[in-house]
Amino acid sequence: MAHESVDADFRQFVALRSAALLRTAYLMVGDWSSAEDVLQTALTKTYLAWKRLGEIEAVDAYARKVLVTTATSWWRRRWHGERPAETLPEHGGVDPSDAWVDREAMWRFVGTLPARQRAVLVLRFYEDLTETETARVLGINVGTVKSQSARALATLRQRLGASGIEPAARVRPRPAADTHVQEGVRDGSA
Amino acid sequence: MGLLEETIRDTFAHRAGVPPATDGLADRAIAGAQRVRRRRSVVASAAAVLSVALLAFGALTVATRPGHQASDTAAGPTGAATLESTLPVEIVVDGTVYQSVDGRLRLPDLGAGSVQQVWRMATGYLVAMYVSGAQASASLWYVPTSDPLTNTPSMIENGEAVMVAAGTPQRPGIQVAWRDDAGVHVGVFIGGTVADTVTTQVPDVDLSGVDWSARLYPTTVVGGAVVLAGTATGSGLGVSDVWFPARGDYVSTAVAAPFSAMLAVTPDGEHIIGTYHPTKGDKASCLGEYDPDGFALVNQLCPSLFSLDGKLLPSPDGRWWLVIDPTQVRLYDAQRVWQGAGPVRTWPMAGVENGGWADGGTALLTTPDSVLVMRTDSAVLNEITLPDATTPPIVVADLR
Repeated sequence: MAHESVDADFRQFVALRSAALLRTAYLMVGDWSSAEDVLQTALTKTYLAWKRLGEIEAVDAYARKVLVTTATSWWRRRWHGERPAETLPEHGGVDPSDAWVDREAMWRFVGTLPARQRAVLVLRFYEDLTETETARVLGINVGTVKSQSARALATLRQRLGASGIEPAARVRPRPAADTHVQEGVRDGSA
Repeated sequence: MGLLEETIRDTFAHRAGVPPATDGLADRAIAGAQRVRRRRSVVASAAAVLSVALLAFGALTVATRPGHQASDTAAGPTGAATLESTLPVEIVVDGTVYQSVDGRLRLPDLGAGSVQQVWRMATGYLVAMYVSGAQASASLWYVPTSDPLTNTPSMIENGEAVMVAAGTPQRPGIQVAWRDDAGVHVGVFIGGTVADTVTTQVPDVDLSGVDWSARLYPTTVVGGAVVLAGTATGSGLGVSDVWFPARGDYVSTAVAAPFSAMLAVTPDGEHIIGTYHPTKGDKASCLGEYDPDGFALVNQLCPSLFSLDGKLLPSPDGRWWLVIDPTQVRLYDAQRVWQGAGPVRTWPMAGVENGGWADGGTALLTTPDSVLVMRTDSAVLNEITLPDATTPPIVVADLR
Protein backbone atom coordinates (compact mmCIF):
# COMPACT_ATOMS: atom_id res chain seq x y z
CA MET A 1 0.00 0.00 0.00
CA ALA A 2 2.84 2.39 0.89
CA HIS A 3 4.50 1.56 -2.41
CA GLU A 4 1.31 2.46 -4.31
CA SER A 5 1.08 5.70 -2.39
CA VAL A 6 4.63 6.64 -3.36
CA ASP A 7 3.86 5.89 -7.00
CA ALA A 8 0.70 7.97 -6.91
CA ASP A 9 2.46 10.91 -5.28
CA PHE A 10 5.29 10.63 -7.76
CA ARG A 11 2.92 10.56 -10.72
CA GLN A 12 1.20 13.67 -9.40
CA PHE A 13 4.55 15.41 -9.01
CA VAL A 14 5.53 14.51 -12.57
CA ALA A 15 2.19 15.75 -13.90
CA LEU A 16 2.62 19.06 -12.11
CA ARG A 17 6.28 19.74 -12.71
CA SER A 18 7.49 17.87 -15.78
CA ALA A 19 6.67 20.61 -18.29
CA ALA A 20 8.67 23.22 -16.38
CA LEU A 21 11.57 20.86 -15.79
CA LEU A 22 11.54 19.84 -19.45
CA ARG A 23 11.82 23.47 -20.52
CA THR A 24 14.87 23.97 -18.31
CA ALA A 25 16.45 20.77 -19.62
CA TYR A 26 15.79 21.85 -23.20
CA LEU A 27 17.52 25.18 -22.69
CA MET A 28 20.53 23.35 -21.30
CA VAL A 29 20.91 20.53 -23.84
CA GLY A 30 19.55 22.18 -26.97
CA ASP A 31 16.88 19.82 -28.32
CA TRP A 32 13.63 18.43 -27.02
CA SER A 33 14.44 14.76 -27.51
CA SER A 34 17.65 14.97 -25.50
CA ALA A 35 15.90 17.14 -22.92
CA GLU A 36 13.33 14.40 -22.40
CA ASP A 37 16.14 11.86 -21.90
CA VAL A 38 17.74 14.13 -19.32
CA LEU A 39 14.42 14.70 -17.58
CA GLN A 40 13.69 11.00 -17.42
CA THR A 41 17.09 10.34 -15.87
CA ALA A 42 16.48 13.07 -13.30
CA LEU A 43 13.00 11.75 -12.52
CA THR A 44 14.36 8.23 -12.07
CA LYS A 45 16.84 9.48 -9.50
CA THR A 46 14.13 11.56 -7.86
CA TYR A 47 11.89 8.51 -7.57
CA LEU A 48 14.72 6.52 -6.00
CA ALA A 49 15.20 9.27 -3.41
CA TRP A 50 11.48 9.96 -2.93
CA LYS A 51 11.02 8.47 0.52
CA ARG A 52 13.84 10.34 2.19
CA LEU A 53 12.99 13.65 0.51
CA GLY A 54 9.61 13.92 2.19
CA GLU A 55 8.08 17.29 1.48
CA ILE A 56 7.10 18.30 -2.02
CA GLU A 57 9.27 21.41 -1.76
CA ALA A 58 12.32 19.27 -1.06
CA VAL A 59 11.37 16.99 -3.92
CA ASP A 60 11.10 19.90 -6.31
CA ALA A 61 14.47 21.35 -5.29
CA TYR A 62 16.07 17.94 -5.49
CA ALA A 63 14.61 17.18 -8.91
CA ARG A 64 15.84 20.48 -10.27
CA LYS A 65 19.33 19.97 -8.85
CA VAL A 66 19.58 16.47 -10.30
CA LEU A 67 18.19 17.70 -13.61
CA VAL A 68 20.77 20.46 -13.87
CA THR A 69 23.61 18.16 -12.87
CA THR A 70 22.49 15.55 -15.37
CA ALA A 71 21.98 18.09 -18.13
CA THR A 72 25.33 19.69 -17.49
CA SER A 73 27.30 16.46 -17.58
CA TRP A 74 25.27 15.15 -20.51
CA TRP A 75 25.76 18.32 -22.46
CA ARG A 76 29.48 18.25 -21.85
CA ARG A 77 29.67 14.79 -23.33
CA ARG A 78 27.44 15.34 -26.32
CA TRP A 79 27.79 18.96 -27.34
CA HIS A 80 31.43 19.58 -26.70
CA GLY A 81 33.17 20.89 -29.74
CA GLU A 82 30.08 21.88 -31.69
CA ARG A 83 30.45 25.17 -33.46
CA PRO A 84 27.80 27.60 -34.62
CA ALA A 85 26.79 27.75 -38.23
CA GLU A 86 28.54 30.50 -40.10
CA THR A 87 25.32 31.86 -41.47
CA LEU A 88 21.90 32.08 -39.95
CA PRO A 89 19.20 29.82 -41.35
CA GLU A 90 16.55 31.09 -43.70
CA HIS A 91 13.87 32.90 -41.82
CA GLY A 92 10.67 30.91 -42.11
CA GLY A 93 8.83 32.04 -39.00
CA VAL A 94 6.12 34.58 -38.43
CA ASP A 95 8.22 37.15 -36.64
CA PRO A 96 9.85 39.24 -39.40
CA SER A 97 11.78 41.46 -37.04
CA ASP A 98 15.29 42.12 -35.91
CA ALA A 99 14.33 40.53 -32.62
CA TRP A 100 13.91 37.21 -34.40
CA VAL A 101 17.42 37.44 -35.83
CA ASP A 102 18.76 38.35 -32.41
CA ARG A 103 17.10 35.37 -30.81
CA GLU A 104 18.28 32.96 -33.49
CA ALA A 105 21.83 34.20 -33.25
CA MET A 106 21.71 34.25 -29.48
CA TRP A 107 20.41 30.69 -29.34
CA ARG A 108 23.17 29.45 -31.62
CA PHE A 109 25.88 31.20 -29.68
CA VAL A 110 24.50 30.07 -26.33
CA GLY A 111 24.80 26.54 -27.71
CA THR A 112 28.54 26.99 -28.11
CA LEU A 113 29.18 28.02 -24.51
CA PRO A 114 30.78 25.59 -22.05
CA ALA A 115 28.19 23.57 -20.18
CA ARG A 116 28.53 25.33 -16.87
CA GLN A 117 28.34 28.78 -18.39
CA ARG A 118 25.19 27.81 -20.24
CA ALA A 119 23.72 26.35 -17.06
CA VAL A 120 24.47 29.54 -15.18
CA LEU A 121 22.70 31.60 -17.85
CA VAL A 122 19.65 29.34 -17.83
CA LEU A 123 19.37 29.41 -14.05
CA ARG A 124 19.96 33.14 -13.81
CA PHE A 125 17.95 34.39 -16.81
CA TYR A 126 15.28 31.74 -17.26
CA GLU A 127 14.76 30.33 -13.80
CA ASP A 128 15.43 33.75 -12.24
CA LEU A 129 17.57 32.30 -9.46
CA THR A 130 19.90 34.52 -7.48
CA GLU A 131 23.60 33.89 -7.82
CA THR A 132 23.63 32.19 -4.43
CA GLU A 133 20.76 29.91 -5.44
CA THR A 134 22.49 29.21 -8.74
CA ALA A 135 25.66 28.27 -6.88
CA ARG A 136 23.73 25.87 -4.68
CA VAL A 137 21.95 24.19 -7.57
CA LEU A 138 25.17 23.74 -9.52
CA GLY A 139 27.19 22.75 -6.47
CA ILE A 140 29.77 25.46 -7.07
CA ASN A 141 30.71 28.56 -5.14
CA VAL A 142 29.27 32.00 -5.69
CA GLY A 143 32.55 33.30 -7.06
CA THR A 144 32.47 30.70 -9.79
CA VAL A 145 28.90 31.63 -10.66
CA LYS A 146 29.84 35.25 -11.11
CA SER A 147 32.95 34.49 -13.13
CA GLN A 148 31.12 31.99 -15.33
CA SER A 149 28.31 34.46 -15.91
CA ALA A 150 30.75 37.23 -16.78
CA ARG A 151 32.64 35.01 -19.20
CA ALA A 152 29.45 33.82 -20.85
CA LEU A 153 28.15 37.34 -21.34
CA ALA A 154 31.49 38.54 -22.64
CA THR A 155 31.63 35.66 -25.12
CA LEU A 156 28.10 36.26 -26.34
CA ARG A 157 28.72 39.97 -26.69
CA GLN A 158 31.87 39.30 -28.69
CA ARG A 159 30.27 36.71 -30.97
CA LEU A 160 27.20 38.79 -31.63
CA GLY A 161 29.42 41.73 -32.41
CA ALA A 162 31.57 39.66 -34.75
CA SER A 163 28.42 38.61 -36.59
CA GLY A 164 27.40 42.19 -37.03
CA ILE A 165 24.52 41.86 -34.63
CA GLU A 166 24.02 44.49 -32.00
CA PRO A 167 20.91 43.56 -30.05
CA ALA A 168 21.44 46.47 -27.74
CA ALA A 169 21.46 48.96 -30.60
CA ARG A 170 18.23 47.71 -32.09
CA VAL A 171 16.29 47.03 -28.95
CA ARG A 172 17.15 50.23 -27.19
CA PRO A 173 20.03 52.70 -27.04
CA ARG A 174 22.80 51.60 -24.71
CA PRO A 175 23.39 53.97 -21.79
CA ALA A 176 26.82 55.53 -21.77
CA ALA A 177 27.39 54.46 -18.16
CA ASP A 178 26.88 50.82 -19.09
CA THR A 179 29.78 50.84 -21.51
CA HIS A 180 31.99 52.56 -19.01
CA VAL A 181 31.25 50.06 -16.28
CA GLN A 182 31.62 46.96 -18.39
CA GLU A 183 34.87 47.94 -19.94
CA GLY A 184 36.69 49.57 -17.13
CA VAL A 185 35.48 49.86 -13.63
CA ARG A 186 35.47 46.23 -12.57
CA ASP A 187 38.84 45.69 -14.15
CA GLY A 188 40.17 48.64 -12.25
CA SER A 189 41.98 49.72 -15.36
CA ALA A 190 40.01 52.84 -16.17
CA MET B 1 19.03 44.72 -16.54
CA GLY B 2 21.41 45.07 -19.47
CA LEU B 3 20.24 44.80 -23.05
CA LEU B 4 22.28 41.69 -23.69
CA GLU B 5 20.65 40.02 -20.70
CA GLU B 6 17.23 41.10 -21.94
CA THR B 7 17.92 39.41 -25.26
CA ILE B 8 19.01 36.25 -23.44
CA ARG B 9 15.81 36.24 -21.39
CA ASP B 10 13.76 36.86 -24.50
CA THR B 11 15.57 34.07 -26.37
CA PHE B 12 15.07 31.56 -23.57
CA ALA B 13 11.41 32.49 -23.14
CA HIS B 14 10.68 32.08 -26.85
CA ARG B 15 12.66 28.88 -27.23
CA ALA B 16 11.16 27.13 -24.22
CA GLY B 17 7.67 28.37 -24.87
CA VAL B 18 5.67 25.22 -25.58
CA PRO B 19 7.31 21.89 -24.77
CA PRO B 20 6.17 18.80 -26.68
CA ALA B 21 3.84 16.35 -24.98
CA THR B 22 5.66 13.81 -22.85
CA ASP B 23 3.39 10.87 -22.24
CA GLY B 24 4.45 8.14 -19.88
CA LEU B 25 7.33 9.99 -18.25
CA ALA B 26 6.36 8.88 -14.76
CA ASP B 27 5.92 5.26 -15.84
CA ARG B 28 9.28 5.20 -17.56
CA ALA B 29 11.00 6.82 -14.57
CA ILE B 30 9.46 4.28 -12.20
CA ALA B 31 10.47 1.42 -14.49
CA GLY B 32 13.99 2.84 -14.70
CA ALA B 33 14.18 3.11 -10.93
CA GLN B 34 13.09 -0.49 -10.57
CA ARG B 35 15.83 -1.58 -12.95
CA VAL B 36 18.36 0.38 -10.88
CA ARG B 37 17.14 -1.32 -7.71
CA ARG B 38 17.42 -4.76 -9.27
CA ARG B 39 20.94 -3.96 -10.46
CA ARG B 40 21.87 -2.70 -7.01
CA SER B 41 20.62 -5.90 -5.52
CA VAL B 42 22.73 -8.02 -7.88
CA VAL B 43 25.81 -5.87 -7.39
CA ALA B 44 25.35 -5.88 -3.64
CA SER B 45 25.22 -9.67 -3.56
CA ALA B 46 28.23 -10.11 -5.79
CA ALA B 47 30.30 -7.56 -3.96
CA ALA B 48 29.35 -8.46 -0.41
CA VAL B 49 32.66 -10.05 0.53
CA LEU B 50 34.64 -7.28 -1.12
CA SER B 51 32.57 -4.60 0.57
CA VAL B 52 33.15 -6.00 4.03
CA ALA B 53 36.88 -5.97 3.45
CA LEU B 54 36.86 -2.46 2.06
CA LEU B 55 34.59 -0.95 4.67
CA ALA B 56 36.92 -2.25 7.32
CA PHE B 57 39.31 0.35 5.95
CA GLY B 58 36.65 3.01 5.74
CA ALA B 59 36.56 2.90 1.97
CA LEU B 60 33.81 3.99 -0.38
CA THR B 61 34.36 1.77 -3.35
CA VAL B 62 31.43 0.86 -5.48
CA ALA B 63 33.09 0.37 -8.81
CA THR B 64 36.18 1.43 -10.69
CA ARG B 65 36.83 2.51 -14.23
CA PRO B 66 40.12 2.40 -16.11
CA GLY B 67 42.44 5.16 -14.99
CA HIS B 68 42.56 8.45 -16.85
CA GLN B 69 45.98 8.82 -18.36
CA ALA B 70 47.79 12.14 -18.34
CA SER B 71 49.20 13.40 -21.59
CA ASP B 72 52.66 13.54 -20.03
CA THR B 73 53.55 10.04 -18.92
CA ALA B 74 57.22 10.50 -18.26
CA ALA B 75 56.92 10.84 -14.52
CA GLY B 76 54.41 8.18 -13.66
CA PRO B 77 53.23 4.65 -14.24
CA THR B 78 50.69 3.74 -16.83
CA GLY B 79 47.92 1.17 -17.01
CA ALA B 80 44.56 0.47 -15.52
CA ALA B 81 43.31 1.96 -12.28
CA THR B 82 44.09 0.30 -9.06
CA LEU B 83 41.38 0.00 -6.45
CA GLU B 84 41.77 2.52 -3.67
CA SER B 85 41.47 0.73 -0.37
CA THR B 86 41.22 3.94 1.61
CA LEU B 87 40.12 7.45 0.80
CA PRO B 88 42.82 10.09 1.13
CA VAL B 89 40.26 12.65 2.29
CA GLU B 90 36.73 12.47 3.61
CA ILE B 91 33.82 12.88 1.27
CA VAL B 92 30.07 13.23 1.76
CA VAL B 93 27.66 11.33 -0.49
CA ASP B 94 23.91 11.50 0.05
CA GLY B 95 24.24 12.64 3.65
CA THR B 96 26.86 10.11 4.70
CA VAL B 97 30.42 11.10 5.54
CA TYR B 98 32.89 8.52 4.29
CA GLN B 99 35.76 8.96 6.68
CA SER B 100 39.35 8.22 5.82
CA VAL B 101 40.03 6.47 9.11
CA ASP B 102 36.93 5.76 11.11
CA GLY B 103 34.51 4.39 8.50
CA ARG B 104 31.13 5.97 7.86
CA LEU B 105 29.10 8.57 9.69
CA ARG B 106 25.50 9.27 8.78
CA LEU B 107 24.84 12.97 9.26
CA PRO B 108 21.83 13.64 11.46
CA ASP B 109 18.67 15.22 10.11
CA LEU B 110 19.44 18.92 9.81
CA GLY B 111 15.99 19.94 8.64
CA ALA B 112 15.04 21.33 5.27
CA GLY B 113 17.58 21.92 2.57
CA SER B 114 20.55 20.15 1.11
CA VAL B 115 24.12 19.74 2.33
CA GLN B 116 26.26 22.30 0.54
CA GLN B 117 29.67 22.19 2.20
CA VAL B 118 31.23 20.28 5.07
CA TRP B 119 34.27 21.11 7.18
CA ARG B 120 36.08 18.68 9.51
CA MET B 121 36.87 20.01 12.97
CA ALA B 122 38.79 18.36 15.79
CA THR B 123 35.56 17.60 17.65
CA GLY B 124 33.09 17.10 14.79
CA TYR B 125 31.84 18.68 11.61
CA LEU B 126 30.49 22.02 10.49
CA VAL B 127 27.80 21.54 7.84
CA ALA B 128 26.42 24.29 5.60
CA MET B 129 22.83 23.65 4.55
CA TYR B 130 21.00 25.52 1.85
CA VAL B 131 17.29 25.88 1.18
CA SER B 132 16.43 27.07 -2.34
CA GLY B 133 13.28 28.68 -3.65
CA ALA B 134 11.51 31.90 -2.82
CA GLN B 135 12.59 31.71 0.83
CA ALA B 136 16.18 30.76 0.05
CA SER B 137 18.41 30.62 3.09
CA ALA B 138 21.61 29.11 4.38
CA SER B 139 22.44 27.72 7.79
CA LEU B 140 25.54 26.42 9.52
CA TRP B 141 25.30 23.41 11.82
CA TYR B 142 27.77 21.94 14.26
CA VAL B 143 27.67 18.15 14.42
CA PRO B 144 29.89 17.04 17.30
CA THR B 145 31.37 13.56 17.15
CA SER B 146 33.79 13.54 20.05
CA ASP B 147 31.23 12.46 22.62
CA PRO B 148 28.49 10.08 21.50
CA LEU B 149 26.34 11.16 24.45
CA THR B 150 26.32 14.81 23.45
CA ASN B 151 26.43 14.66 19.68
CA THR B 152 23.18 16.55 19.16
CA PRO B 153 23.59 18.90 16.19
CA SER B 154 23.10 22.60 16.80
CA MET B 155 22.54 25.46 14.42
CA ILE B 156 25.42 27.90 14.71
CA GLU B 157 24.31 30.67 12.39
CA ASN B 158 21.86 31.26 9.57
CA GLY B 159 21.17 33.89 6.94
CA GLU B 160 21.46 34.35 3.21
CA ALA B 161 24.92 32.78 2.99
CA VAL B 162 27.42 31.20 5.37
CA MET B 163 31.13 30.49 5.05
CA VAL B 164 33.86 28.75 7.03
CA ALA B 165 37.59 29.26 6.47
CA ALA B 166 40.87 28.37 8.13
CA GLY B 167 42.41 31.04 10.30
CA THR B 168 45.31 33.22 9.25
CA PRO B 169 48.16 34.78 11.27
CA GLN B 170 46.16 38.01 11.39
CA ARG B 171 42.85 36.27 12.16
CA PRO B 172 43.69 33.10 14.10
CA GLY B 173 41.14 30.38 14.74
CA ILE B 174 38.51 28.90 12.50
CA GLN B 175 36.66 31.75 10.84
CA VAL B 176 32.89 31.77 10.37
CA ALA B 177 31.25 34.51 8.32
CA TRP B 178 27.68 34.99 7.20
CA ARG B 179 25.30 37.58 5.82
CA ASP B 180 21.81 38.35 7.04
CA ASP B 181 19.52 41.36 7.20
CA ALA B 182 21.75 43.01 9.79
CA GLY B 183 24.87 42.94 7.62
CA VAL B 184 27.94 40.78 7.23
CA HIS B 185 29.39 39.15 10.33
CA VAL B 186 32.59 37.29 11.06
CA GLY B 187 33.69 35.50 14.20
CA VAL B 188 35.77 32.61 15.50
CA PHE B 189 34.30 29.14 16.00
CA ILE B 190 35.21 27.91 19.45
CA GLY B 191 33.51 25.60 21.91
CA GLY B 192 30.59 24.87 19.64
CA THR B 193 29.69 28.50 19.07
CA VAL B 194 30.91 31.64 17.32
CA ALA B 195 32.71 34.20 19.48
CA ASP B 196 34.26 37.62 18.97
CA THR B 197 31.75 38.53 16.28
CA VAL B 198 32.28 41.73 14.30
CA THR B 199 29.65 43.18 11.95
CA THR B 200 29.74 45.57 9.03
CA GLN B 201 27.20 47.03 6.68
CA VAL B 202 27.86 46.33 3.02
CA PRO B 203 26.67 48.93 0.55
CA ASP B 204 24.66 47.40 -2.26
CA VAL B 205 25.45 50.33 -4.52
CA ASP B 206 29.08 51.28 -4.33
CA LEU B 207 30.26 52.21 -7.76
CA SER B 208 30.95 55.90 -7.97
CA GLY B 209 27.52 57.08 -8.98
CA VAL B 210 26.97 54.41 -11.61
CA ASP B 211 23.52 52.88 -11.43
CA TRP B 212 24.82 49.43 -10.76
CA SER B 213 24.48 47.24 -7.73
CA ALA B 214 25.64 43.94 -6.40
CA ARG B 215 24.74 41.99 -3.29
CA LEU B 216 27.95 40.67 -1.80
CA TYR B 217 28.47 37.59 0.35
CA PRO B 218 31.49 36.51 2.38
CA THR B 219 33.54 33.90 0.53
CA THR B 220 36.84 33.48 2.38
CA VAL B 221 39.38 35.02 4.73
CA VAL B 222 42.78 36.22 3.52
CA GLY B 223 45.34 37.77 5.86
CA GLY B 224 43.34 40.15 8.02
CA ALA B 225 40.54 40.53 5.50
CA VAL B 226 37.20 38.93 4.74
CA VAL B 227 36.69 38.67 0.99
CA LEU B 228 33.16 39.33 -0.23
CA ALA B 229 31.92 38.52 -3.71
CA GLY B 230 28.81 38.94 -5.77
CA THR B 231 27.52 39.65 -9.24
CA ALA B 232 26.54 43.12 -10.33
CA THR B 233 23.02 43.32 -11.62
CA GLY B 234 22.81 44.82 -15.07
CA SER B 235 26.19 43.55 -16.15
CA GLY B 236 26.66 40.04 -14.80
CA LEU B 237 30.25 40.92 -13.99
CA GLY B 238 31.87 39.81 -10.77
CA VAL B 239 32.47 42.05 -7.81
CA SER B 240 34.96 41.25 -5.05
CA ASP B 241 35.52 43.52 -2.08
CA VAL B 242 37.58 43.16 1.09
CA TRP B 243 36.68 44.03 4.67
CA PHE B 244 39.21 44.30 7.49
CA PRO B 245 37.18 43.58 10.65
CA ALA B 246 39.95 44.52 13.09
CA ARG B 247 40.56 47.89 11.46
CA GLY B 248 37.00 48.49 10.41
CA ASP B 249 37.76 49.54 6.87
CA TYR B 250 35.94 48.25 3.84
CA VAL B 251 37.61 48.39 0.43
CA SER B 252 35.91 48.01 -2.92
CA THR B 253 38.35 46.41 -5.32
CA ALA B 254 36.48 48.12 -8.13
CA VAL B 255 38.38 51.26 -7.39
CA ALA B 256 41.36 49.91 -5.48
CA ALA B 257 43.32 47.97 -8.07
CA PRO B 258 43.26 46.03 -11.30
CA PHE B 259 41.38 42.94 -10.21
CA SER B 260 38.82 40.85 -12.08
CA ALA B 261 38.21 37.68 -10.12
CA MET B 262 39.60 35.73 -7.21
CA LEU B 263 40.76 32.22 -8.08
CA ALA B 264 42.25 30.98 -4.82
CA VAL B 265 43.96 31.85 -1.57
CA THR B 266 47.63 30.96 -1.12
CA PRO B 267 48.14 28.09 1.34
CA ASP B 268 49.61 30.41 3.98
CA GLY B 269 46.35 32.36 3.95
CA GLU B 270 48.18 35.59 3.21
CA HIS B 271 47.57 36.35 -0.45
CA ILE B 272 44.89 36.17 -3.13
CA ILE B 273 45.51 34.57 -6.51
CA GLY B 274 43.35 36.23 -9.11
CA THR B 275 43.09 37.57 -12.60
CA TYR B 276 43.05 41.04 -14.06
CA HIS B 277 42.97 42.70 -17.44
CA PRO B 278 46.13 44.70 -18.18
CA THR B 279 44.42 47.41 -20.18
CA LYS B 280 40.94 48.75 -20.42
CA GLY B 281 38.77 46.58 -22.60
CA ASP B 282 41.52 44.00 -23.15
CA LYS B 283 40.10 40.50 -23.45
CA ALA B 284 43.40 38.85 -22.51
CA SER B 285 43.84 38.37 -18.79
CA CYS B 286 46.86 38.31 -16.54
CA LEU B 287 47.48 36.21 -13.46
CA GLY B 288 48.21 38.05 -10.25
CA GLU B 289 49.07 37.29 -6.64
CA TYR B 290 47.79 40.06 -4.40
CA ASP B 291 48.36 41.23 -0.88
CA PRO B 292 44.79 42.06 0.16
CA ASP B 293 46.00 45.02 2.15
CA GLY B 294 46.13 47.63 -0.58
CA PHE B 295 45.85 45.02 -3.31
CA ALA B 296 49.54 45.24 -4.17
CA LEU B 297 50.67 42.77 -6.83
CA VAL B 298 53.23 40.39 -5.32
CA ASN B 299 53.54 38.24 -8.47
CA GLN B 300 52.17 38.69 -11.94
CA LEU B 301 52.20 36.85 -15.24
CA CYS B 302 50.97 38.38 -18.50
CA PRO B 303 49.32 36.90 -20.36
CA SER B 304 48.07 34.25 -18.00
CA LEU B 305 49.14 30.73 -18.92
CA PHE B 306 45.64 29.41 -18.70
CA SER B 307 42.18 30.72 -19.30
CA LEU B 308 40.56 29.57 -16.12
CA ASP B 309 37.06 28.38 -16.67
CA GLY B 310 36.79 26.51 -13.42
CA LYS B 311 38.77 26.16 -10.24
CA LEU B 312 42.31 26.57 -9.00
CA LEU B 313 43.29 24.39 -6.04
CA PRO B 314 46.73 25.07 -4.53
CA SER B 315 48.26 22.16 -2.62
CA PRO B 316 48.55 22.72 1.14
CA ASP B 317 52.34 22.99 0.94
CA GLY B 318 52.13 25.49 -1.92
CA ARG B 319 54.11 23.21 -4.22
CA TRP B 320 51.39 22.47 -6.78
CA TRP B 321 48.39 24.03 -8.47
CA LEU B 322 45.60 21.80 -9.67
CA VAL B 323 43.53 23.57 -12.31
CA ILE B 324 40.09 22.20 -13.16
CA ASP B 325 38.24 23.43 -16.18
CA PRO B 326 35.31 22.00 -18.15
CA THR B 327 37.39 19.82 -20.44
CA GLN B 328 40.58 19.00 -18.60
CA VAL B 329 42.48 18.83 -15.34
CA ARG B 330 46.00 20.22 -15.21
CA LEU B 331 48.78 20.04 -12.63
CA TYR B 332 51.23 22.93 -12.42
CA ASP B 333 54.45 23.37 -10.48
CA ALA B 334 53.47 26.48 -8.49
CA GLN B 335 57.04 27.70 -8.19
CA ARG B 336 57.45 27.71 -11.96
CA VAL B 337 54.06 29.15 -12.92
CA TRP B 338 55.25 32.70 -12.44
CA GLN B 339 58.11 32.03 -14.85
CA GLY B 340 55.64 30.93 -17.49
CA ALA B 341 56.10 27.15 -17.21
CA GLY B 342 53.28 25.05 -18.61
CA PRO B 343 51.50 22.20 -16.84
CA VAL B 344 53.44 19.23 -15.54
CA ARG B 345 50.53 17.01 -16.50
CA THR B 346 47.24 17.34 -18.34
CA TRP B 347 44.33 14.97 -18.06
CA PRO B 348 41.77 15.57 -20.81
CA MET B 349 38.59 14.89 -18.90
CA ALA B 350 35.24 16.64 -18.79
CA GLY B 351 32.87 16.64 -15.88
CA VAL B 352 35.20 17.30 -12.95
CA GLU B 353 33.37 19.68 -10.66
CA ASN B 354 35.43 20.16 -7.54
CA GLY B 355 38.18 18.74 -5.41
CA GLY B 356 40.46 19.05 -2.45
CA TRP B 357 43.97 18.16 -1.41
CA ALA B 358 44.60 15.46 1.17
CA ASP B 359 48.27 16.31 1.55
CA GLY B 360 51.09 17.75 -0.49
CA GLY B 361 50.99 14.86 -2.94
CA THR B 362 47.40 13.65 -3.15
CA ALA B 363 44.17 15.30 -4.22
CA LEU B 364 40.63 14.10 -4.68
CA LEU B 365 38.49 15.32 -7.58
CA THR B 366 34.74 14.92 -7.87
CA THR B 367 32.36 14.48 -10.78
CA PRO B 368 28.58 14.16 -10.41
CA ASP B 369 28.91 10.38 -9.99
CA SER B 370 32.49 9.57 -9.11
CA VAL B 371 35.62 10.61 -7.28
CA LEU B 372 39.10 10.59 -8.79
CA VAL B 373 42.32 10.22 -6.85
CA MET B 374 45.20 12.25 -8.23
CA ARG B 375 48.75 11.75 -7.03
CA THR B 376 51.47 14.14 -8.08
CA ASP B 377 53.87 11.26 -8.69
CA SER B 378 51.53 9.38 -11.01
CA ALA B 379 50.16 10.05 -14.47
CA VAL B 380 47.03 8.01 -13.76
CA LEU B 381 43.84 9.34 -12.23
CA ASN B 382 42.16 6.48 -10.42
CA GLU B 383 38.41 6.78 -10.63
CA ILE B 384 35.95 5.39 -8.11
CA THR B 385 32.44 5.45 -9.50
CA LEU B 386 29.38 6.01 -7.37
CA PRO B 387 26.53 4.63 -9.48
CA ASP B 388 24.07 4.82 -6.59
CA ALA B 389 24.81 8.42 -5.65
CA THR B 390 21.84 10.75 -6.04
CA THR B 391 23.84 13.90 -5.32
CA PRO B 392 27.36 14.83 -6.40
CA PRO B 393 30.01 13.95 -3.80
CA ILE B 394 31.32 16.75 -1.60
CA VAL B 395 34.95 16.86 -0.48
CA VAL B 396 35.22 17.61 3.24
CA ALA B 397 37.62 20.46 3.98
CA ASP B 398 39.86 19.44 6.87
CA LEU B 399 40.36 22.32 9.32
CA ARG B 400 41.83 20.27 12.18
